[in-house]
Amino acid sequence: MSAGLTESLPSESDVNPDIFFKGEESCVCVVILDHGLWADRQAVMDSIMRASISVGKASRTYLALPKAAASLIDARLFQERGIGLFTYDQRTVEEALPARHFETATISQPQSDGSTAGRFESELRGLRIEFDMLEQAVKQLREELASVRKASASEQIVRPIASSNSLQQVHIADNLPTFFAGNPWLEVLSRRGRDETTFAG
Amino acid sequence: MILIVYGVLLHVSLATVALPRLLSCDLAYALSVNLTGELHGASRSSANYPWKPFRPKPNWTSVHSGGHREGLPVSLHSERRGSRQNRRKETDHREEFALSRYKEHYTFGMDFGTSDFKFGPITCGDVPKVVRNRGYFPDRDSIMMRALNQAPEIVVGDDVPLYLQSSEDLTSRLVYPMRNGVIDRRDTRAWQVVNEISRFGLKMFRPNPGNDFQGFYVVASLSSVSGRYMYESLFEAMNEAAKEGLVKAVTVISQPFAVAIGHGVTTCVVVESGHGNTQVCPISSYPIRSALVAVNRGGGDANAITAEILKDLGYGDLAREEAFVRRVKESLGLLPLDLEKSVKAAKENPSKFRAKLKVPGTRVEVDLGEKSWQRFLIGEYVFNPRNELFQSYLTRGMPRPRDVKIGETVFEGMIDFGEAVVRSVERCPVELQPLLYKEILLSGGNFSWEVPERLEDFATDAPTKMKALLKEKGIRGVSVKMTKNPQYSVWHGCIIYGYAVPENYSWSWERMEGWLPVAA
Repeated sequence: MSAGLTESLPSESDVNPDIFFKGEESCVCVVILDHGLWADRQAVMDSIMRASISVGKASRTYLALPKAAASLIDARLFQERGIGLFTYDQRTVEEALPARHFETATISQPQSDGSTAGRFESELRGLRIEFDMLEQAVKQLREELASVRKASASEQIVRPIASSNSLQQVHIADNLPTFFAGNPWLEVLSRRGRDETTFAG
Repeated sequence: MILIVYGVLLHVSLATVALPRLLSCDLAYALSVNLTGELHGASRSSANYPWKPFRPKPNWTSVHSGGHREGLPVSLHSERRGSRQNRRKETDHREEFALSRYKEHYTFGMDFGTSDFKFGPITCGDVPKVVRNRGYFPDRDSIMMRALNQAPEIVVGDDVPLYLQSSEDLTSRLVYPMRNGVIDRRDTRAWQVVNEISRFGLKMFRPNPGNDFQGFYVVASLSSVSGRYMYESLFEAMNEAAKEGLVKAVTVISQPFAVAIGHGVTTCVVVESGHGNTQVCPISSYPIRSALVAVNRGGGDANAITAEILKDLGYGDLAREEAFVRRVKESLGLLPLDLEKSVKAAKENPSKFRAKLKVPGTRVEVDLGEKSWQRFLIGEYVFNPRNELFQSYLTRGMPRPRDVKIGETVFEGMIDFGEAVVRSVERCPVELQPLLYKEILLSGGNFSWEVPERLEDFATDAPTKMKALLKEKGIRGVSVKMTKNPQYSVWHGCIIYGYAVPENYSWSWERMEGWLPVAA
């Protein structure tokens, strides 16, 4: 509340969170898995499905789970899809996994039927979503291009820089600066100390 | 979607858990407080990064692949119990993962440039924070400072202009420590500035209390001709900062090495040209320090020839102001592809090459008029001062770039940049030399030469000029490029180095690399 977000109701009918917050430029959906329904497979599926529907339509989407149940979840699946995770018990609520932020118009803003402003808003929303998709595609292409270049550089007389096994030793997260993408030094530097034959004077 | 459901269901079907009771209204209230608290101003690029770093908790399955799955009852572990060695490997892998996640937030880069100090943690994204690399020592005995009652001993960062007193004080009280890339070991004020500005930068980005911050992994970058004492002094400064909990470990890398890392090329020659000097450094996964060639010439020499030109044209008073001279150099200076040909063309058609500079808000105007051919001297002098056109200036007293020795490094004064690159490359193994010529990177403000419209046949840019100089020496088939992001490439390199180098790679004075843990 102190951040200017207020509890509200979403206007889109297919988005059905348990708690919805909206602000001037963002909105957050939270789907709660009740502690009493943890063993109910149907309830688990329902909450995951509801959270998935909100991804991309809200600025951030969270799934709230009981703490004891959280140990059974592979958080990687949620991280890849941008869904954040809260865990709760009797005393506290903790953000165990931050949600990815999606640039989109708040879904609580009502669209004007037939008005110019409403048409512009929905076009803008569509453009933003397309932009996000294009950005992702460009990032993937850059990474593929970097790996192709690295493969073609294997003609060098100098000792080979990369071996495929060492790739796994460098954990490259999604949220690193753009100048990390495709940089061969990550792999070279990660092997410091393991391979000390050098050309250095 | 299906994979999420499958993943969850697999665990649900395998486990039985006793769950605590919780009132739904308490949960709604708690979630709204926590959610708004986290969302308020919490951007990853915020200086007051409040987020707790994500760490895999003991009762979570690790996010990365291949992790040992804790938290499940023993009877429900997979059949792969594994040997002690496997379990140790898994533990090492988890620790590496945890360190990697820590470094995603707390790797910190510092680029001590001649004019600017660029700094910041990895969470700054692509652009670091930049302040002028200088410190001001206020006159604490002055009435004004006594009235303030809390005048600091030294001021750095954006607050410096607030404390400037009179212009006469600037030369004695305003200190630029890295004017020529190195600091004299006896220059205590310069070292004070370095210490203070480092602490200033680290404190700016220290996270709010209450999270798991244990200090930054700091990577600082110095000139490749810095002596051992400069590294020792910087390590000492970081030790002091560690007492405030700001630093966990520190290392120092050379600026050309950082440029190569930031540019993403593992085999190359980096030519780094700043205000006072130019360094040519081959890199092949490591800097080849024995092949380093240093030239005692940089942007300051271009300023010197510009000042002489202004004096000849009758602008003697203006020629004494360094900032103005630099502005004239940047606005009117040209780099010729062929000096004789360009000067001849400019003398034959002065109107085509004529240049004027008017300073906004003043009556100051510089017009080179018929002497506009001298624009080409400014760029040429930086790359190749041996042309006889410069003799008259040297005879009349313009300082000649001399050979000097700083520490163990000899800075040659009069060799051209092409010769410097050839000498450096020829100190490397023969098999490596063709690969080095194929990737020559130019870095530093001294290589920012623009080509005005209509003058493309006579003026050129730095990469083209370098290729021409190398061709004169019989080196063909070279590739010369400017660094992608000349302003920030050193800082980018520091960040990548700090993130990727393993923590257990310890500092060695022999290889001049590695982490030095600092006393907390």
